[in-house]
Amino acid sequence: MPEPPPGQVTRLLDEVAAGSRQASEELLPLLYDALRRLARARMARERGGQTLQPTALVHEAYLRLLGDTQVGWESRGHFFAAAAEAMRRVLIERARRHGRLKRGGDLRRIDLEGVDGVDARSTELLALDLALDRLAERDPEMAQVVKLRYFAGLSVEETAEALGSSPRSVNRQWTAAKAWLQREIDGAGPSGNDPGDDSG
Amino acid sequence: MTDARWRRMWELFHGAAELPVGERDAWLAAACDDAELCHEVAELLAAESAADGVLSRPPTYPTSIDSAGVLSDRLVGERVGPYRILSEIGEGGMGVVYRAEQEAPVRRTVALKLIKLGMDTREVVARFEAERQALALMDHPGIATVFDAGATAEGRPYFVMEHVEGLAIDRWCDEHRLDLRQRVELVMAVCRAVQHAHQKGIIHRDLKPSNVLVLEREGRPQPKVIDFGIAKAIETRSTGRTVYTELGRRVGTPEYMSPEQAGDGVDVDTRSDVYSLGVLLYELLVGALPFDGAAPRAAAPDEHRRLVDEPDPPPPSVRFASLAPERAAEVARMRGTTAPVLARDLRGDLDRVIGKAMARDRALRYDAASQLAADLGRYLADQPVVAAPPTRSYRLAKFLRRHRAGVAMSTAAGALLVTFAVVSSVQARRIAAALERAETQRLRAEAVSGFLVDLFAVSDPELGRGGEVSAREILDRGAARIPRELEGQPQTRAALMDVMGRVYQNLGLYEQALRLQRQALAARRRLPGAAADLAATLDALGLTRSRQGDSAEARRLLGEALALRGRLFGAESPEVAATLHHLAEVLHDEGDLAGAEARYRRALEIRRGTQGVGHREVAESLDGLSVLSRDQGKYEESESFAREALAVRRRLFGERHPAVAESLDTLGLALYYREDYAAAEPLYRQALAIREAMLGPQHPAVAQGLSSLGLLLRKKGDLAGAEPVLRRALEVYRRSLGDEHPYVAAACNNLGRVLQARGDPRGAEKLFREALRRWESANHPNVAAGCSNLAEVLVQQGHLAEAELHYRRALAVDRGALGDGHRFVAGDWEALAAVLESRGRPADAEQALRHSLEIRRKLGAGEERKLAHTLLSLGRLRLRAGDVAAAEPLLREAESLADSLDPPDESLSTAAREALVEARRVS
Repeated sequence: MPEPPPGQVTRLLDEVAAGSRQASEELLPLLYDALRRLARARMARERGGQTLQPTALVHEAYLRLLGDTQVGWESRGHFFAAAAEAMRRVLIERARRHGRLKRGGDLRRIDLEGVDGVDARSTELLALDLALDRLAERDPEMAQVVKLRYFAGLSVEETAEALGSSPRSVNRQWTAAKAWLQREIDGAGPSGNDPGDDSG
Repeated sequence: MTDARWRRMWELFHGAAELPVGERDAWLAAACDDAELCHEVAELLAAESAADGVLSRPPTYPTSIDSAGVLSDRLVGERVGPYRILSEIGEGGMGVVYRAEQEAPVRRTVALKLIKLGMDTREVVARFEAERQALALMDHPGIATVFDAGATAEGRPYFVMEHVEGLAIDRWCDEHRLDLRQRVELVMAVCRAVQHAHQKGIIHRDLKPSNVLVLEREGRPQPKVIDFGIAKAIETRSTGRTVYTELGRRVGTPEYMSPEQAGDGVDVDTRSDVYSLGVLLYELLVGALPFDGAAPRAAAPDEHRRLVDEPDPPPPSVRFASLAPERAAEVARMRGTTAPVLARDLRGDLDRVIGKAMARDRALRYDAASQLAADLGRYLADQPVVAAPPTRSYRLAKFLRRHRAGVAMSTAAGALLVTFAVVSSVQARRIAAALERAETQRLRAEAVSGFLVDLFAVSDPELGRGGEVSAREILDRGAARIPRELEGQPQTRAALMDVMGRVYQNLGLYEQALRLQRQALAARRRLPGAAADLAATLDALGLTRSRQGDSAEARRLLGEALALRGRLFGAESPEVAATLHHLAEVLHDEGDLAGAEARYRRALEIRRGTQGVGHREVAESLDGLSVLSRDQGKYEESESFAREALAVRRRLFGERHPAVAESLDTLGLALYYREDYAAAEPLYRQALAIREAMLGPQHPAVAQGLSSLGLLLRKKGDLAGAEPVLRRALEVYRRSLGDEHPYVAAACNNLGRVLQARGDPRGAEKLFREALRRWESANHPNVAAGCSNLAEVLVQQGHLAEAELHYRRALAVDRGALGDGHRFVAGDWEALAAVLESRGRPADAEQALRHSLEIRRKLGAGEERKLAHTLLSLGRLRLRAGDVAAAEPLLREAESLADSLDPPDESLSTAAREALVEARRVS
């Protein structure tokens, strides 16, 4: 997909703000592609096995796609929500591919000794993704906070603004979500991972 | 899980999460009534407090070697010499690094570094050959071996090295969140590796994070320095620089190069590597380079100009302080700490060591990487570092830090300094306000400090004989040195003796304290001025004498101190309150309870007024009043005083502190006297444990705790448990206070009672005799009780004559001390009567009983049981004498009294009735 014409994203955001479901549905893939493109470009520039900061990518995407346009906080919120979700998908997709190549598709969190940081992170990311889905079922708002903070790298204040909430609430939800997700990933949560975990 | 439950779960979670970790369990247990939910919340809290969660690290973009179109695959799959290129690892300034497989002569995975086009291949390879011999001799786990060098078909030189699957050291440290210590340790390992190479004559010349890879080996991080020898080989005049293009962080300026390298780079020695190591450490600790592109680094042609023109790099602590707050917080987080703590930790020796490693003038740097490692090792061990100036205060600070576990409030050294600081500041405050002698005071304080510092200096292994020295030894040694060393400084001497005497006193070593304090007093009496000092010594010495049991001298000394302090500080001052309290203690010990109470209360009033209700001295007063009320028989008051004191002390000191132990004890005793043994026992045990841990097993306070516990166990009826405890108490008292001390007498007495109850009257007798001996020689009011106890056990053994003697003695003492109408006196009469009867003197026995009867009738309420007893005994005697007329009314009264008792006393009622029956039969 070629780069979207300038102003398209702004227009979409306006439509989303007006309540258009279709606009929402268009926004996500658009951002997804944009992020992947940006990532590729970055990687090409900075070879050497260095990792990129996904949250930096999200912000870069914002700058590129919205440029100088001033958008309201609601639209900003929509953008970042979509971008966070898009970024999440990008990362998960890469992690899956990576995981498949290295680990034969095993998504459980297992002890990885002597492997460089990337592998461990991929598997972790996949586990997080699953846990996040489960969280979204229970408490969509909490899951949303996680997406914005973690995948889009928004600060507490920015997240609060994006959600139309208060920093205090966001902080509480973030703390709560972290604990809950960690527990899920560790396999101790009620929905648990496979029983008979023989991680070693 | 329902919505409501979900919400409730988080309510509980957040409620508990706001509390400190230690309080959470209790709060949760109280707030939550659903066990399952409670359990879940607890799990969540555990997950929350776990340090390294998935979400605490930012997401990383997974890089994969084979995602097409993203990373270059220029040479991948091709062969270079005997090596087959497998994949690309990365790119550095010199060229690209690949993972390759060597097929011959051995089969192994290697790293192949392909040097950029543009360099003179022949020269490069030739220079490498020159180094190859030396390189081949290098064998160190911290150094990646370079195997080979060659050129490709296109004429590009390459080097083949050991393939190290690791992360660059800065990434490793950040990803593993290594703290400061761990990072220093890691760099020390790198230093050792570099030192190895230096010994082989190889200088790296290009030490930087990407050239130090770290991997995990046997659970520990193993650094590996790569690219040894390559820098020199490919170096040319104009390309002495290495260029960075990583994420735009460092572009162009070679931050890791020593000044001499940045110039023409010819005159380079091992110290250049030391410089680079310094910068490496700098970055790992501070999270930033000294000059992040900000300050210009002129490549001046000559060294001299460079030294003059270039600015000094900012010390790590300063650089850290200059970071933006978010960045600083981030950096701190990567080091497992917070920004303020990190800032503090960077200051001082780390600044100095790194500064010395990075000195622009190489003559000032460490000569070798091993020296840098050694100084870092010293820093970690809290030893003085070479990089620091050798001042006294620095060494003292280091010494105290090394021994900080032992140099706490409860040990001599810390108390010494702290006490002295307190004493000095009080004196300085007071006298500076009054006289120009403030200057003299200050000088004296410094002289004393100097003495103390020297004291510690001798214990410092750097200067002295080495080996661990206990704080007690320091104290003893110091005490011995005072007369010799401070000959010409009488005031300083006196001050020091006073302070050290206090410390000994706190440790319960009253003999040593006494010696020093007497000397201090004598000295201070002779010295002009400084009345406050004199008063302080009088007070301290008075306290020591009081603790040793010599009330008379204590009262004299404290009286003098009180008068003096009143004049100096006014009647409403903490100093006066302190002396009043000590006086109260003395009066209390002597038995003058009313006098003691007045003074305790007055001291409390003053202290509350001048020091606030939460002050430790207020707690001391409350504790004293609790003990006093107990002795006065006001048990409820005793308990409430004790509770209040305990609360204050807990708030001030936490759970493990001798003062808290004392209050636990006092409260325990108060409960004991209120007969709530179940509540008292755990308090006693707690107090005892604290004391033993903090004061050692031979401290008199421990004996006190043992005594209390023993008495409690006896009361509970656990005689088997009480005996060993009381035995130990006695032993400790003997050991710590000497046989002559009144507490020893009391301990003998207590143990004796237990032995008696356990059926060992002989053992009990010995102890009672000893106790009595002590009390008699001191004319202590306890003489009566002592006599009674001894007499009782003598009766048990059939030694009636001696028993009578002692009962008479007890009677006499009690009558003298308490008057003729006291219930104790009645008891004495009764006991005497029993013995007399057993000795076949019924008439005398009767007479004694009549005395007892008279007293008990007068006493009335509370004495019914005893009265009934007396009536019964008397009635029986009359009956035996054949006087039924007199016997019957007595016995009838006994019976009706016995029947009306609540709780009823069956045996008494029965005995009375039997006697009556007998009486009627006879008549």
